Amino acid sequence: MLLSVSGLTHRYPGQSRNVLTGVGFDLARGDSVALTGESGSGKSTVLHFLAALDRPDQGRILFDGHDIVPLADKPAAALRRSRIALVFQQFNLVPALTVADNIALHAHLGQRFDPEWTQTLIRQLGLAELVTRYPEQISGGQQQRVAIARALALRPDLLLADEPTGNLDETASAEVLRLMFRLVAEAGSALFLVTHSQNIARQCARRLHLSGGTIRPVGS
Amino acid sequence: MILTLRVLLSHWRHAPLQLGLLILGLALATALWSAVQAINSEARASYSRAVEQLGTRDLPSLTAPDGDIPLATYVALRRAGWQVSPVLEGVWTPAKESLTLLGVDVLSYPGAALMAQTTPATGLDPLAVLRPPGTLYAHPDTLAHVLQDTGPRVMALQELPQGIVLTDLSVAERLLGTSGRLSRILILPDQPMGLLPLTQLVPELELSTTDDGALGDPQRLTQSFHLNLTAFGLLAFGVGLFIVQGSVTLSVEQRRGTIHTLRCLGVPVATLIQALLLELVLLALVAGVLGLVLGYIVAGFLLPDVNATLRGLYGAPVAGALSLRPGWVLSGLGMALAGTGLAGLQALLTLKHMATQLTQASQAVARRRAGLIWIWAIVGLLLIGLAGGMLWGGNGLVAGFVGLAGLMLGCALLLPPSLFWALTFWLRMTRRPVLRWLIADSRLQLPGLSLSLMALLLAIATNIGVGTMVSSFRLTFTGWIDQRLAADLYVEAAGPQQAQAILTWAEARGARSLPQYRWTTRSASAPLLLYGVVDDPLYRQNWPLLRSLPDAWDRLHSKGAVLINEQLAHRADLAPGDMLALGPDWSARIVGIYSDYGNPDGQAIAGITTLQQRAVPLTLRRIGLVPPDGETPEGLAAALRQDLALPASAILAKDRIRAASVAVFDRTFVVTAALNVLTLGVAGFAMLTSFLSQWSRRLPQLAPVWAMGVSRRQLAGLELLRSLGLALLTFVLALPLGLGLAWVLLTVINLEAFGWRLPMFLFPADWARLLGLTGAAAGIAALLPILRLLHIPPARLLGVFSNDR
Repeated sequence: MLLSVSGLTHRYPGQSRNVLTGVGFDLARGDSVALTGESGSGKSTVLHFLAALDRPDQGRILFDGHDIVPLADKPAAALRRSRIALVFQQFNLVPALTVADNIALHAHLGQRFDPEWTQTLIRQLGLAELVTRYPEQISGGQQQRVAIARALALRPDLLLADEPTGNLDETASAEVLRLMFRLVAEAGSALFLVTHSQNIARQCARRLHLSGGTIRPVGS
Repeated sequence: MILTLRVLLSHWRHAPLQLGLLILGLALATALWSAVQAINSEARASYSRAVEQLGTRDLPSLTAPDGDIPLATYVALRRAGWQVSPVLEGVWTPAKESLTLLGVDVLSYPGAALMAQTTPATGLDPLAVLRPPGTLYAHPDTLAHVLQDTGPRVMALQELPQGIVLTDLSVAERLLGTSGRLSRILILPDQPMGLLPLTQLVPELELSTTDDGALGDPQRLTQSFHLNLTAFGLLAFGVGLFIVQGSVTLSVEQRRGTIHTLRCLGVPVATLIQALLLELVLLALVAGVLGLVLGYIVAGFLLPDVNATLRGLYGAPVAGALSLRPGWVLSGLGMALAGTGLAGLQALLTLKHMATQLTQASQAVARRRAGLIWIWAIVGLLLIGLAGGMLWGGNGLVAGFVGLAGLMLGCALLLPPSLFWALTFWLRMTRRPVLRWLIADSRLQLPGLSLSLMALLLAIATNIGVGTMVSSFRLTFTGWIDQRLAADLYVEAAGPQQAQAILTWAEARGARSLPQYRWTTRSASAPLLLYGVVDDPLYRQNWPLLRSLPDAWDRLHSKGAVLINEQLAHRADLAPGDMLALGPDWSARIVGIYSDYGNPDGQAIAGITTLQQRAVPLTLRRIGLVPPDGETPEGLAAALRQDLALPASAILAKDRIRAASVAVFDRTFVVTAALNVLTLGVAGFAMLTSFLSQWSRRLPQLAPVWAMGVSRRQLAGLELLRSLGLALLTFVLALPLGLGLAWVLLTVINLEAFGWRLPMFLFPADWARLLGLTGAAAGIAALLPILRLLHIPPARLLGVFSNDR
């Protein structure tokens, strides 16, 4: 099992109720899971815990058998650098770098840069014409494709996507998701997708729903 | 409009640190500027008081181009009906210190009213000043220190400048050992009608509207120093404005959302601009008042050192304490308002642009601004070209300073493009991802950091330039003083008899004597101190000649030639081979020019036999002595003290004089060093405000890199590296500018200001120290953002991913 989450409990500072109470689920290599829920239900918080960007009050997150919850900043950063990639709703590209540099950045950081694979991603995501441009010089849909290319160029063990098409129109959203699912499969990564859209969630192998701080599986 | 202003002002409630930095930046800028202005206005007021109290301000005077005026000429003018007043002026040394003795006709001298004021208090008849043994008037400090038991009665006159003794003409003649000669003839304001013109009556005399004597308006003499201080103040003010500019522009950027909302609510662009202008005026007034208070305190601290400098370089001390002048307060507030307006110009343009093009991303604006960087380069190069033209083709001190300002501003404008191109080149060369990100990110941040880096460049260059000038001067000065102090001992004689006794004693003992005979005269319409020297090989070996004819010393002693100091050569445009007029029927060939630092007046050296043949009234107070073989200077000094019963203070060893001179020199430049440090401090502060200002914009750029696995500690290290790297690059570019500045100061400004040119030396150890200081300033400036980054909660970084930018 790539990821084994159990007993995640968390409360935001200054709030009287837990946002997460004993959340648990598993994720295997090559698997894809969608987490749905209302706004403010804690979906993004779970994703941040899985990326070791933040720490829950209680619970365990075993990544490849190692608990990543107690990790200090340095080993947590090393883990993200080499094995976990993220795609955000806001794209979060580095404005100082060109499209090409943005795509290669994470793979270079994780010392897993593969020029052929990167070229494949650029070609398949239709970014070949844009590589010399800067993020603010391309559209939102194009920026999100760059963000996906950046994440997949690492060939991560785990891809975490937080509302990856939340800022895109319907057509662009469908196109980006189609490419993302195909390339995730090609890269052999596990996908954990946070979304409030049931349509998008249905494209994943499994669906989980977060409500009232607890998680339950949806459908078969 | 008021409502719009209230909405705009509400921003500062959420950014108290930024507001504090903005006000402090403007206050510091105003403080340094107003401190310098306070010092200058105090000095000018002091000079004005001195000149006014002597009653000679704006009075034209007649002088002889080749020396003294015969008393008969004065008598002829009076007989022709001219209302004139005679003045005899000379250097008088009653004790160890030399004083300027001013002999006047008490009945016609405009300042004589002062003398009359004192007599009732003392119970003396006002005419007593004319009765033997005469009366000397001087400032109480001058009386206390130097005028003891000199013969004539002495009276304190608070209004007189220090170092000046005022007396009747006959008493001055007696004390100076002259007779029937005058230095100047003052033309009094009220003249009868129908007089014969002066050009017909006294064609040999020159009419001058400015007082050129030793008592000449010190404002003229010290103009260069005050201009220098003003330049420093202006530089510090400019550096401070960079802080204001950065903070105000950032505050507008930060209020993009508010401005968007206000526009959507129907607020016109003009109202927004008016509200921002009003906000700037409020900030300027608050910071201006704070700056004035700080400036007053700084001026109070610096004034004693400025006084030391003025006394050391020009002999023009500033009397009195610092006082609060309304003009100074108004000009300080005016500068704060004008400076804020200037610094806020970009913010106003940004606001106008933002209010009309609300959808444009700030990164796009930053990149477009970075793309226009070549315009900076062109303007910078144009300014440098203009500065070069000013420095080569211009004349005078103001042209020198304008050229210098152009050079510095031009180079400052070249800094951002230079850094941009250097970073672009480095980006192409490097493959390491984190480094590539750092370089690219630094390049994108350049527009935001440019002004503070320009401020840093100016501060570093000024430090290098002024430091090189002062150190070169010091090195030259110490080498020069070693040459000038050729003898091992210097003895101060109490009078002519004692001087003669010392010479006789030295000859009997086998010691070599180097007596310094002196005579104060006039040449080229200005006072001239002429030294008479004996023919001793020590002079030939040691005396520091800058330019000379062959066999200069032989011609000096055998053919009546003279050596002149650099100041006189520059002022009167004289060169070796030219003639120097020393009297109505006496001109001497100039055979050499010697360096003579720290002396504002003209000086010449002639052979003692020439002067004795001319029967000039020589005085001898100082005698240099070289012990015979086998005797130490200490032994000779002890014997001299014992045999002639001289006080210990009358004999000075070469080393003591050297140490005292170097101490005076060092004190002279204390103010410069203080201003240097303050300017670097302001530049460091500018960097701090820039980094802090950038901080809020940095999070969206740092958070994705952190999410990709670069830890906060690494990011903090990279931020430090960026700060140090930019400071280092700025230092590298500031070094040639600083050396250029030093060259201009040494060869153009010094020559115009003081009359001497100095060789330039390089001091790499000083650069290394400055590099360390620059690194420390950059490190400290980056420290606060770094600490924030190290301790930033992950939730804050995560907010970047979930909130709308």
